[in-house]
This record gives sequence, C-alpha cells and structure tokens, in this order.
Amino acid sequence: MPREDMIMPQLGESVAEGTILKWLKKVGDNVAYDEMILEISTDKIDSEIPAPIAGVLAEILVEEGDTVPVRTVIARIETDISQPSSVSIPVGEDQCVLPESKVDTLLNDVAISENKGEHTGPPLQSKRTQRFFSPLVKRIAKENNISLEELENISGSGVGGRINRQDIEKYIASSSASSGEVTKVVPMDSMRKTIAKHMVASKKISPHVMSVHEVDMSAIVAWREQWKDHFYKKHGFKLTYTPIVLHCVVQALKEFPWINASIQGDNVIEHRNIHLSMAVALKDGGLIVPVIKNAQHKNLINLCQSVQELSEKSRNKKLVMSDLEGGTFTVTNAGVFGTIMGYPIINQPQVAILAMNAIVKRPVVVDGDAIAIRSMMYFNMSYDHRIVDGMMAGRFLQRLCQLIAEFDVSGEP
Amino acid sequence: MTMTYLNAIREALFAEMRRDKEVFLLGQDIAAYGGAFKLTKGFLEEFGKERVIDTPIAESAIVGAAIGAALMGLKPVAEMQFSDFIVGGFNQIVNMAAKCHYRWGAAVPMVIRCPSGGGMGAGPFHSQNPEAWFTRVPGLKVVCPGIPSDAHGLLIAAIRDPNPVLYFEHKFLYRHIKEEVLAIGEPIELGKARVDRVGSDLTIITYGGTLRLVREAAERLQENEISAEIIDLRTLIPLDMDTVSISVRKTNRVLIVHEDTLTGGFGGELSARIAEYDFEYLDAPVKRIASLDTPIPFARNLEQAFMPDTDQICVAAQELAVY
Repeated sequence: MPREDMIMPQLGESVAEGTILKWLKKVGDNVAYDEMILEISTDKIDSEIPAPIAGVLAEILVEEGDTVPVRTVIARIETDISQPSSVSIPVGEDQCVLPESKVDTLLNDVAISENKGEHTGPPLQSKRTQRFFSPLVKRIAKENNISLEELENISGSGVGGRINRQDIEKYIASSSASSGEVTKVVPMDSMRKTIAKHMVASKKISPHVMSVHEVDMSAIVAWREQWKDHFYKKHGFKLTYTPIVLHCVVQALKEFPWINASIQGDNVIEHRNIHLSMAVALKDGGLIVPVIKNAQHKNLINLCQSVQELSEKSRNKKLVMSDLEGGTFTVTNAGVFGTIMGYPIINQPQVAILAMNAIVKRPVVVDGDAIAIRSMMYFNMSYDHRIVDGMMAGRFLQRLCQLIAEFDVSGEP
Repeated sequence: MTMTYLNAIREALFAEMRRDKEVFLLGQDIAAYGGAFKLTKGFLEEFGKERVIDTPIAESAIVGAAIGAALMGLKPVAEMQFSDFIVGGFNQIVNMAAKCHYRWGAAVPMVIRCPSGGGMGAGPFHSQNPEAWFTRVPGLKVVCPGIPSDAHGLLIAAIRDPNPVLYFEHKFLYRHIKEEVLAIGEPIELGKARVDRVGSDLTIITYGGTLRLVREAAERLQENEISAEIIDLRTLIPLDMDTVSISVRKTNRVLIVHEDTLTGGFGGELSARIAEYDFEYLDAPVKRIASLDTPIPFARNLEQAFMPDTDQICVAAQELAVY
C-alpha cells in the first residue's frame, strides 16, 4: 500500500516554520479523511490539522514540541487510494474557524505532496463541528479548557438542542474534567504518608482531651535576654525557651510518672527514663520527631545542646533510626510560628503531648488587683483519657507552671 | 412633585428661564397660542415677547435664528412644532450648528425641542421619530427621555450644555405618564444611560416612547419567570456603552426596542457595537424590535400594527430567553 507524505502546512503567508503541539493520533491509528490528526502552533496561530487522506498513520517523523520549516514531511499515511473516504461531510454546513484566506492556505498546503488531487473524498474543508456554539459558550469553554469534542457531547437546553450558558456552566460544575484547571495533583512523599498514617491512627487509638494553662514567662524572658549572647559565646549553641521548658517538664514528669507512660493492652507501662520527643518542622514541609534520650540526666546546658544537635540533624537529614525511637513524652513548640494556642495530637504510643506557644505580651492581673504587662504563654496538653484524667493533667500542668515560675533566674545559666 | 411628562418639560423650561436671562424660546405658535400642545402656555405672560418668540412656519429660519443667537451668546431653545418638520432646518442643523465649533471655534449652545413619535393617529407627517438622522452627525448631542424625571433633568442639562442638543420629546408620553419628580431644577448628566430595571435573563435596551412598553413587557415576562433587565439609554449621543456592556456581559442576551423604523434606526448602531465589543459574551443573536419600514399609517389599527407593542416585545424576549 502506498504511503503518502504529510507536510508541515504553511499557516499564513509570512509563516516559515511550525511547532508540533500534539499528535492526536498515534502510529497505527486509523485516520479518516479530514479527521483532526495533530495540533500545530506557529507564531501566528495554533491550529488543528486534518488528515489529507484516509488511511493508517504509518510514521510520525517529527515529535511533539519540535519546530520544523514549512513543507517538511512530518508524517506518512499508509493508504489504499482505491478506497473511498469513509467520512462524508455535508458541504456547506461546516463551521470554519479560520478566516477564509487562512483556510485556503492551510488546505492547499495540507494536500499530500504526491498524487495531488487524487483523493476521492469531498472537497477539503476545515471540519470543526456540526453544532453551533455561541461566542459566549466558546469563550467559557476556552476559559475552562473544554475542547470542541467535549462541547459536542454536552446536551443543550436551547432551541434545537443548542448549548447555552446555563448548560455549559452546569457541565463545568458537574465535570471533574474542569477541575484539572484549578487544582494540582501532588503525590504525598513518604514522610507525608507516614505523618498522615500516624495522625489518623493516634486519633483513632486515643480519646484526646486537652487542657490549657497559662504561664508568666516574664522573668525567663528577661533572664534569657540578659544571658543569651554570653551563653552562645561560651557554649557555641543557643539558649532558647524550648530547653528551659524541657528542663521543667523533666522535673514535672519525674513527679507524675503516670504521664510519662504508654499503654500496652490492659496495662499501663510507666517509664523510668524520660525520653523527650521534640517536634522539628522541616523547611520544605513535613516534620520529624527526634528523641532526647534520658533527659532526666541532663542539666539545662545539656538540654540546650541536645535540642540544637537534634534540630540540626533533622534539618540536614542526618538523623538515624535510633534518634527517632523510644520517646516517652512529646513537646512541640508552635510559638515560633506565632501560634498562641493549638491542639496537638498524641505521638503514639505515648499518652500526652505538650504544646508550647508564642510568648505574647498581655495585660494581666497581678498582685491583687493591679494590671501589668507580662510576657505570657499558653501550654496546651493533649492527653489520652483512657489513663489520664483531667485532674491529673491539671495537676501536672499546674506543677509545670510552678516550676517555670520558680525557675532559677538568679545567676548565669 | 407629581408631574406629567409635559409638565416636567414645562417646569424645566420655567426653571432655566428664571435662572438664566439668556435662555429664550422661539418657535411656531409657542407664544400667544401657548404651543400646539400648550406646553409653553403662560410663558409669554411671565417672560415677555422678547424671550418667548413666535416665528413664521419656516424651520430653516427658526434654526438659523437660534444658531445666530447662540453664536452671539444667548441660549435659545427652539421648538419644532412636530419633529417631522425638522428636515426643513436640516442643513442649518447638520452643516451649521454641528460644525461651527469645529470650524470656527464658535460654540452653539442651543437646544432644539422636537415633539416626536406616534400612537395618536396623527399620520405620516406628524408621528415620526427622526432621531437617528442626527446621531450620525458629529457635533450634535441627541437626547430622548422616556420618563418625566429624565425629561426634566435632561432638558436642564441640554440647555446648560455648550453644544447644540436635539431634544426628542415623545408626544404620546406628554399626558399619558406621570411620576414624582424630586430633583426639580437639577440637571441630569447627558451621556449616562440608566438601569431602569434590574434583571438577569436578558437585557432590553430602549429609549424614549418605547420605555413604557418595555416596562409593561418586563412585568409580564416576570410572571413567566423571565427576568429582564431594562437599560434606558436616555441620550443616544453621547452613547453610554459602559452601562450597556456591563448589562450585556451579565445577561448575555440583548433585545433592542425603539419606535423609529428598523432600517437605519439607532438599534442598528447599538447592535453593531454590542457585536463588536461584547461578541464573546453573547449567547444569542442581538435582536431588534422597531417600527416597520413604511410611512406611518393614519388609521389607528394600522398604526398599532406598524409600531412595536408589548406583545411583540414579550415574544421576542421569550425567544431570546430560550435560545
């Protein structure tokens, strides 16, 4: 069977080259005479190009995205010339989208380079659609990335089945096709999947309760301001609020071992050691929760160092599995993002998680009936109501706040 | 104050003549007789024969005298007894009044009042709507009020305007419609259309005598759950395409209604502009309803068949709504 060359058409007199936008057919596909076979783009217009003859698309010689001069052979169609075209187009009923002159140029140039004029189909026309679409409908379709083919399949409520604005708007509202325009599908990475799984599981496993306490950080704020530069020079890492709070948390947990626990079946496992999990937000999204092991053996300086080390390892993706295992209680600090109150989800199999929040200057009542401006912070603790009741959580938080209030700010850290 | 359309015009003339000594009236039978429609009855008594001038039956002379007075700094308000006869002054209007300022830098602050329109069985010489002839003459403004308050405010603005303004007042409306006119003595800016009724299914654009028909039609359409928005152009030149476009882009369907005959009527210009500027917002072809392309019949039944009516507007609107 003969193969006919299909060439890059010249869409306009001054157009020298064209880019293949998309092949609508692939090698081996049957193409009907005048059926749209590819989309091309020139500096003047974009256009769908119909098959000049019926047959099988035998070769694609120019790939999508490539630009070639006009008249370059871009494909070959294998054809049986003796077979009449299977598509018949009623003459005069077509919608021509291109201006007449452009259509002429296009059609002349789309003609096969050999056997010109020997095809047996009806006169070549730019076949677009048999149905009429109003300018408004076409504009709405374009804005919503709805192709003419899609439009053809929308049923219209207008006279003679014409699609009107209501029809296409209804279609858009109900169609998932249009959602591709306004949404982006992003697969979750493995960290995100893990977080998702753990969070869902935790909410299923533990009946969460949250208590909120408020603590006056003014003395600590002033003390830290006084010493932070000196501390950094001396130790090489920063004096931050998190290790200060961790320091107090360790003491409180020692006094409330029921909160430094996990549940195994019908047993509550109280942990002798305090392994503090700390949530670290990562720059490009996600978070990770490394563990400060045996926090009960660490002084404030050790805790500062641990926090700094684990944060750096988290951000540099240097954590090893053992850094992530064995936590018995979690502290998270959303205050750095300005959060003043949050509702943390328990890090299983632990039974409680404490959220530190932003330290905010607020007018508060002090010393009887005086109002003063103090640096205040809320502690939010979510806990597993299976074993921790409100009373115990309240007492724990009360003790924690007391430890913060009594934190020794008399001298050098 | 509740005013008929005629009284709204009268009161505007009174107000401006009292306000500005340079405003004066001239026209056939306007002084001693008080005007063919008694619109200027009482003006001679109040303002005297220097400012309320009876003229010969010669439109060219009326317009020519008005142009001369305007060039000399007065503010003439000339009356064509019937706007059909304005063609007698056509040359003075289109070649002189319209072009004086362009050619010689000489302003022509004049108003020509043109009682127009049919519906009263007045036949082919006393019923026409010749506004479209003047909309294509650069240098003229063309005003066509459809309700008393607009008739009042637009005439005041026309008198104060430094350009020659053709003011088409619909004779049928004179004593057939009345409404509360609140801003007595206040001008309404020329070149601003008015959304007469807010709707969502189609826009009906009209002006002058057909506004009342379109209002009736919109009420009936509402009963069939078709919500028509009405744009009253009020002035044809300058044309407020902004207001038109905003409405067209909202409803996507347009019906234009005027009492002037179809071919060469202002609806053609309007339709072309909508097609040009708002093409991609049209969900149906722009339709026009106008009088038939014939002389205006004298017989009442034939005249009714000749002119647009509410039924016709409703049918066209329904066709558009389901298109």
